[in-house]
Amino acid sequence: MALLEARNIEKRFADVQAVAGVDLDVEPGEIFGLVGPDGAGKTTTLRLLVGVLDPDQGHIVVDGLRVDKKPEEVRERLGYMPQQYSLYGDLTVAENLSFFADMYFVPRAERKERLARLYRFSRLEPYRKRPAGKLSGGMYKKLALSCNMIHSPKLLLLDEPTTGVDPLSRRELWDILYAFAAEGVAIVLSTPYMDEAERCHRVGLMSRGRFLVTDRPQVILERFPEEMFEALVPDVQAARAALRKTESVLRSYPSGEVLKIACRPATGSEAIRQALTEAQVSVVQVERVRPTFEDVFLSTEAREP
Amino acid sequence: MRTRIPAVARKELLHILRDWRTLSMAFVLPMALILIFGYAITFDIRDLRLAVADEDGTRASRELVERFAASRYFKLVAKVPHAEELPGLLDDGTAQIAMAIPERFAENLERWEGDTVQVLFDGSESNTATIAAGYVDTIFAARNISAVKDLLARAGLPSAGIPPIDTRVRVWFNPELESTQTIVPGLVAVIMMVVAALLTSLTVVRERELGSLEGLIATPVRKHEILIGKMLPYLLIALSDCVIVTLLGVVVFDVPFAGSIVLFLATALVFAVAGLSIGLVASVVASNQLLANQIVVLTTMLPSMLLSGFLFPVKSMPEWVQAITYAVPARYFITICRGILLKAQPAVDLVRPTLFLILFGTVLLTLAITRFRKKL
Amino acid sequence: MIAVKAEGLVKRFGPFTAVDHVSFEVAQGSIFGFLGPNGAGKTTTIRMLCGLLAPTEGRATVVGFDLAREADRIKENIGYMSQKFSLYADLTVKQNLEFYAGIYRIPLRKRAGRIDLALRIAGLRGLEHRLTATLAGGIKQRLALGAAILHEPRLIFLDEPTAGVDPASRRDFWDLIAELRSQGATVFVTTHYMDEAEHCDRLILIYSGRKIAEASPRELVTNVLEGSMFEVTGPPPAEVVRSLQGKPFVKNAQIFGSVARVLTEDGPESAGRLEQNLSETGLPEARVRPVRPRLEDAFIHLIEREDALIADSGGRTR
Repeated sequence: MALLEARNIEKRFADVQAVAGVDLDVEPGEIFGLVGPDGAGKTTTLRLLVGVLDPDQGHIVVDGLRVDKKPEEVRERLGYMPQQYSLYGDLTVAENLSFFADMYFVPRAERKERLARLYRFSRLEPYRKRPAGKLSGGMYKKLALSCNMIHSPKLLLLDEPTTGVDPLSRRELWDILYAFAAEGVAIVLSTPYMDEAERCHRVGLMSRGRFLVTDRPQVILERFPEEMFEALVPDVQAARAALRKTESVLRSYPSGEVLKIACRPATGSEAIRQALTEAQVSVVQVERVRPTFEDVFLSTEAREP
Repeated sequence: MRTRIPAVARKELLHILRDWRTLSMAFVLPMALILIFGYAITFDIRDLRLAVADEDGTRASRELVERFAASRYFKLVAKVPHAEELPGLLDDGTAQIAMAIPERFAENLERWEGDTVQVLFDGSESNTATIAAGYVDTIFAARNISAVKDLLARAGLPSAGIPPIDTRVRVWFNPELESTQTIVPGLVAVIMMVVAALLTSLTVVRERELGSLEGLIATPVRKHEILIGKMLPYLLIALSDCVIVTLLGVVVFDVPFAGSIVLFLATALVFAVAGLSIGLVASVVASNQLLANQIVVLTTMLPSMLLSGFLFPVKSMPEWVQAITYAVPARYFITICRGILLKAQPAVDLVRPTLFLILFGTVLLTLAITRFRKKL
Repeated sequence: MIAVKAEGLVKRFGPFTAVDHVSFEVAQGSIFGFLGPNGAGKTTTIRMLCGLLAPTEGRATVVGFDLAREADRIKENIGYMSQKFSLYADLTVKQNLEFYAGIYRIPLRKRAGRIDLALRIAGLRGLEHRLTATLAGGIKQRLALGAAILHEPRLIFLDEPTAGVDPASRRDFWDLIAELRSQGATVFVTTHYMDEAEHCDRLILIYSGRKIAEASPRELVTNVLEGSMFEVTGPPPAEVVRSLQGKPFVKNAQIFGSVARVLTEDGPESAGRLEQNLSETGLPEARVRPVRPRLEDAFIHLIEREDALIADSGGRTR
């Protein structure tokens, strides 16, 4: 049985349909990513799953319990990390951990061991007495994660856990998440970073309140019907103009020194090179590249009404 | 039974101790208030500036002037020969009161023909004028009675039937009529109410603004655990303020403490809960700290100062306003305070106001808990 | 031609050093990127260069004017788009542009033309009379950019211009920037998005207020990271990482979704070595494939090196 099951969730604010019919299943040990830009409905979806917002329609079940019928029992089994700073800035690392341990009635006898483990993961032991408000972005997020794991929840809901932190902290955060997942914790996280989609076990690309596609990232990329190329061209604008006339080229966009080109399947780099040479545009190199999630997003969006 | 209240209370205490702004509001403000109010507000009028025109110039008239000059309520600032000069002295502010003693004052007195001493008051401050008029009457009354006694004595008649009269009117329980004694008990109530409500009004709303509320309500903590837990440290502060303000009143302003300390603290506790609950309601209802602040000022500060009997007696308000005062918790605690401090009233006499306060606290706290939702 | 020259810029707020001796040069007509996490000092640096914040130490020359003495001249010649949307939500698109046209004192006879140009460049034609509050995030950003270029500045500062914006709008926005560059403007961008940084001609990596690299995105990825990057599929990535722990020629191995990404020491021949190693440790079904390192890998490598330097000199790390 899925640990988290959400069916046909809808939520409307005034004249905006923030979430428009979302279905979700997450198994224990699975990391599910809600990937999409601001305004897509990620935060609202997470808040609905936690139960701090009530859906207009649909129901959510966590570990067999309905969120609308038994909200407090559900909260005992999950941890929620909101997007904005939600810890207590004037309390130290240790005090924050202790408070959340109290909120979840973590037995005193077990605290020492759990804290030791969390400190080991987060490497925050040297900063135990530092006020949370004085931690760097990465350290803060690790603390927030620890506060949410102190009671060994079965489900973690994280709203943009890696936004804005330095890449090293990001990697460390992901290592921590993988470790928890290996222990059977189900994790649902949201991210605006397209490249983070590949780090998840399963991904739902979200736009305007609904999922464009939900699957394992490799499958999404493999099934992506377009071919992606990168061309090194001195005159990017001219190249784009030339390619606009080429039938099999769907779109192209500059990216620093290169031009990224999306084409219909089976186009091949030769066709591109030919199109450019015919238009008197000099080409240094054309190579086939793997599609990224941004490419997928752009293409699916492009096909959306 | 397991409860999260101590954990929430502990955390709130840490926040308070680490925030110098809250701490100063909790302790410095009350002390400042009582010192300001204690020294500045007084209904006693002293050293009223008196100008006299003595057109008689006899021993009797001089003696009359002496009575006034000797009284601590009056200060002789001008003696002029003619009554016509007096209005000028009132106009230019040299004198607040002008007294004109006519010619043949002593003569008429000897002949037991009443005479008129004209006293003029600067009425631009009607409070002062009214009170001053009272003092003047008292002095004249005293003078008349002592004149009668003299007469009887000279006629050889016993004056035993006429009791000796003091120039000062004795007011029951407040012989000095020291207004600080009336004010300070009221002040204790007002300060407690305002500080308690202000402090709690910020607590929930601040977490909402800072963002920590979202994380907190996602835990299994119950609504009542959050609100009661948050209230407890402020209860401690409110009671401390009560003790501090009362102590200052007793030590600095000589306010008596006639009654039971235990009773006082117990009723103060009940009153504090009522005040804190108002703040909690504001904190739960308001969407931002500014709004919470305004709600509290409107519902506690103004009514406590104006409608509780602190400055103005309730009985002299219009009927419909009196009805409103029943909804002002400070009113009941002022009654209790004055009762314990000044009259040493026992518990049995204070049951009614105490019950009102308990009712208040319960209703408001329940309102706060019901209105508070663990939702965004 | 140099658009910006910064020499040893330092900014301290009390005991905290936000910008720590940062020096660089920006060539005219290029897209220059400041890449780093939140709190690294990017916004502070931009504010100094715009003349909004006085540096504690150091000097800079911006569009030919000295920062210390001619800050006002600088402001007249640059466009600035702040991180937080700072236009007026209760004004229409056109009203906002008219307001800024007035602020920049664009001569009246040129005003209509410039506003029209801004509308066109920002793709806002047809939206002139829409209330700004009703616009979607991506469109608001374009409006902010339009307002920043009304006075034809030679240098444009963009502070996190596309944070949170959807990919399509982000692409459009970068098209805009490319067009501005083709008109001769220099664009200075700050961002914490790794993939966005790849749009820039040249990048500076900022970490804890210090510059830890300056190069083009391609150079960073090929030169900075000494080694080869591979993707290992087949066995569970956690097992792959575990089995490669401590192997001398493996510089780094980490889980990435359902694959493992491994950075090894030598050249591409190490693919074979990797495969051999994995099968010897009981993972014969592992398949190894060379992949291009990402900017993030380069950044992490540089951060680790930086942290090691700090640790060696006895200082405090993150």
